[in-house]
Amino acid sequence: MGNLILNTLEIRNFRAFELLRIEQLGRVNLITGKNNVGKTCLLEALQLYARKSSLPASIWKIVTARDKAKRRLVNTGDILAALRYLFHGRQEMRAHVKPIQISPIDSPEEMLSIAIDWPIAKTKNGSLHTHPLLPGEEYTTEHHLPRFIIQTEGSLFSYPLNPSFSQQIFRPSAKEMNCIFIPANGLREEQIIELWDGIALTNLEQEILAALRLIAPGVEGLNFVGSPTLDPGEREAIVKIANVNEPFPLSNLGDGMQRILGISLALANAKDGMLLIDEFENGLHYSVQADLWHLIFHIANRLNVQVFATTHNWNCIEAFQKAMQEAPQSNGFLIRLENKKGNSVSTLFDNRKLGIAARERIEVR
Amino acid sequence: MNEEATTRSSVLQNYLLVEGKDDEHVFYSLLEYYQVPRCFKIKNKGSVENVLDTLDVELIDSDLGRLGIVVDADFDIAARWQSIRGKLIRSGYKVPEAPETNGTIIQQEGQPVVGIWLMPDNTLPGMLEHFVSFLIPSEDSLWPFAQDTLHKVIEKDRRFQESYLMKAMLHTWLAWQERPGTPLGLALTNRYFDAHAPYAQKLINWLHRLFDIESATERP
Repeated sequence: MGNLILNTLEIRNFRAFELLRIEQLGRVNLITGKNNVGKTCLLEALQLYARKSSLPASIWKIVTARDKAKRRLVNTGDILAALRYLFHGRQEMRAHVKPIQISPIDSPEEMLSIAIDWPIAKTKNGSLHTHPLLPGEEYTTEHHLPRFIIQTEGSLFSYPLNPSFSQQIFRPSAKEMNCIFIPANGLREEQIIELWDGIALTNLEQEILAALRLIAPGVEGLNFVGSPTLDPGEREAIVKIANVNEPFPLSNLGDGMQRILGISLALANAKDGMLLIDEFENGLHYSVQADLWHLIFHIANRLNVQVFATTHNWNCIEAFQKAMQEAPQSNGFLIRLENKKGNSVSTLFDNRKLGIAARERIEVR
Repeated sequence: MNEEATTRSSVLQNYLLVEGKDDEHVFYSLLEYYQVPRCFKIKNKGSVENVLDTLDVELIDSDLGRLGIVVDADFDIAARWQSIRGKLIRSGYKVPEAPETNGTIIQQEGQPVVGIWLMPDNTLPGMLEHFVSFLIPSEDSLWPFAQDTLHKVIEKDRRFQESYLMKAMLHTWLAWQERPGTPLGLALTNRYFDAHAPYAQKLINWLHRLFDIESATERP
């Protein structure tokens, strides 16, 4: 069994969290809590952390993903307004706003820090020099445009605040970590196809079929094909069912199949990385959830993936509890997020505590 | 999204953890006698071991407002206190070195209020039966007789452990009442015991303070 990417987590000044500390993380982590406690924010913070070698592009991905109107961010005022929501307290963006910091607890050397600063330009000996705004120095419109100041793995980088600026942090040794985020409403069709292409004809296909069989036990094969009714270049998932001669579209088997396909494909593609699932239970009937958790534990162990999922559904927690109890060795945690008098608080339930809670009728949500 | 499964009341719940059925029924009877408003639920944990083993999880129940713990002091009151104290400290509480004689109550910022009562009276070793024996009317003529009888049972014939002596005496005494074999809670309701005795009042006062019953009932 490989090491976990994160054994603990500390988030500062990011969206709902002024400070959130999670003292322990497992291979598979289910995050629960009432509305507005920051369940999805936690997944976003994990995305930033996992994709720190492709900053600042991944920041814009997160900023725009939440904007249903898909506003185009062009002028600095709009850009700064959009970024307000990324920082805790939605305060107006100005110099010396506290940076977003994401890291394991007490591990400054592994910290990802994102700040915005206004460099000051000065002419010195005939050439132009810039330096970040120092405490006490006031920003004026004559100064340069604000920039991201990003600190990761001990290095400091500065980037323009420009969503179309796609240059990434360049480090010859840096390798992008696998990190797949499944939104509450599922992956897009083209993402699913891309994930399928990532594992097609490998022995991971069997894991995907095993997942699909949780809902439709007769599934024998899966493929993605074009058809005259689709646009050129488009493909759809088709399945072969035992004792049925013709393959037929997977979409005919319902939302649950789509959800399971998305989750299992994402997991199979996340080797040595992270899988993030928002509102795990969406589309899934209670009766398949415990088996799906079993499968997730199994594949996550095999491929060394760390899984984080959110839920506010009691059935989903119960299924997770059941899967954990049936496999006492599972390294899983239920993490409850709460807001107590403005402070974010996390409460952990390991296998033992989940078992006691179920037996003694203790409310974990 | 399953609305039914996701909506739930946000009203905090108070619990009183007890170690067995007898404790549960003695409490029900006393609450009835003292007309204590039901602003908490009694949770029978089955054994003192289960109370202790599950305490850390009871404390992180998301609906928990206040938590009372009633367990027997048994032979070694200091050891029992230390085991509870250790668990509460690990759950983030500051806990006094020794139990308070009127029942311990710990209020800590950001955490559920916790109260501890060690049967019989936070001072003596013993169990629920010792507490109930304090409620036997002082003029009762059978009680000295029951005690004396049990002391006369010679060791060879005694089938119970030394620690159950009080239990044996109490149930012997109960066997000689109007309806022999009445369980403790019902015996209290039937007034074989004096629910007005100072020991019972002390316990009820602790409950009032722990669950803040006065202000809980003042609310509309």
